[in-house]
Amino acid sequence: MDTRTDPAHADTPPHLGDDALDNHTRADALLAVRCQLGERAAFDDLIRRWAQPLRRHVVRVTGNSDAADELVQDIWLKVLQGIGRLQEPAKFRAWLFGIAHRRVMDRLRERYAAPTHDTELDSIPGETIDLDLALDMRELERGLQRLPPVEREVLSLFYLDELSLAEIAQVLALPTGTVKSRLFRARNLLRHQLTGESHD
Amino acid sequence: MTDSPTRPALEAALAQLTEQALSRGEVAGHVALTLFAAAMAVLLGLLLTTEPGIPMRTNIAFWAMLAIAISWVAYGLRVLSRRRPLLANREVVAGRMALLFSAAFTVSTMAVGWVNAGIFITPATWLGATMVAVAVGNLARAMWRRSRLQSLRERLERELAAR
Repeated sequence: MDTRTDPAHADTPPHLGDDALDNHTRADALLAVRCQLGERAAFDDLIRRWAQPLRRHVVRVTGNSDAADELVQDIWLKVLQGIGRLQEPAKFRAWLFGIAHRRVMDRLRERYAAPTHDTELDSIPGETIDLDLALDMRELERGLQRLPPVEREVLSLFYLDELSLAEIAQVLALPTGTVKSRLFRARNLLRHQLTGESHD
Repeated sequence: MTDSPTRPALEAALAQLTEQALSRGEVAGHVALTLFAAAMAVLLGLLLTTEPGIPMRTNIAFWAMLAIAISWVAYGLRVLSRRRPLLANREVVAGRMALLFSAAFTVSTMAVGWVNAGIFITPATWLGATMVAVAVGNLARAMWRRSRLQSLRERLERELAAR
């Protein structure tokens, strides 16, 4: 189940060395800058790069794949409206997930205010990445759907979207210490869920 | 993370949203509308403050037209800052348009002043000159911002190519 190292001692995404992480951030920053300049093609590149990770994140946190496309479009509109004012292109990823966080939480608030409906537990799109990792990810995703949205979101951001603790703190607008404790609590809850399931 | 299978429907929908938001014609139209409404507002404001003998009904009509012009300016600015963002390249184009409009306005006030009173410099000319100064400032800011982004872009491209 441990697809990444202990959050207390890890502040970088798994599977990526420092160089790779830097390049990832640079590539995002470059796209953001090209968008800020007004290059139409850069927006298409950004869509190709981020539409699916964003959709998967939304599905994981909301537990609802039917509404995901609409929500991603809503998030994208905010991106279009706000990218010109993004001060630090290198923080694009945290900025993007920050918008997603606010839109998803708005949507969840609407949903919980209205009569609740069953969520789709098996609607997560399949992954075709490394097999061992994919198995872990599926197990993680299966357990995620049984957690409350707040815990689901922090685990998703850290383990599956591969954001660092600092980035998650930015996304959630919380101090890093709070993110760490939330992550620990979420991970314990998840372990409890998975252990309980395996004993059933 | 980025090599996942694509979902053409979602990506097409996002591309369409982008096309709508960044449509060249829409943005240029809103820039022109905002500039035109601003010029109207300035002209009406000038008439109302410098012409003492305007009849009451005309006066009321001018105030109403001024309110409408200001509303159009507010609408145009809101659209350009929110729904149809002016990104750096187009900010420069909009800045050039604003400079052209305000220069044309200033020259017109000089021509009207010369024809009517035989003088080039009227209060309207001073207003036009102020508008030109603001337009120059905005254009300089837009060009500086574009140049800063271009430098950043080149640096990032160099760094990515070096790895």
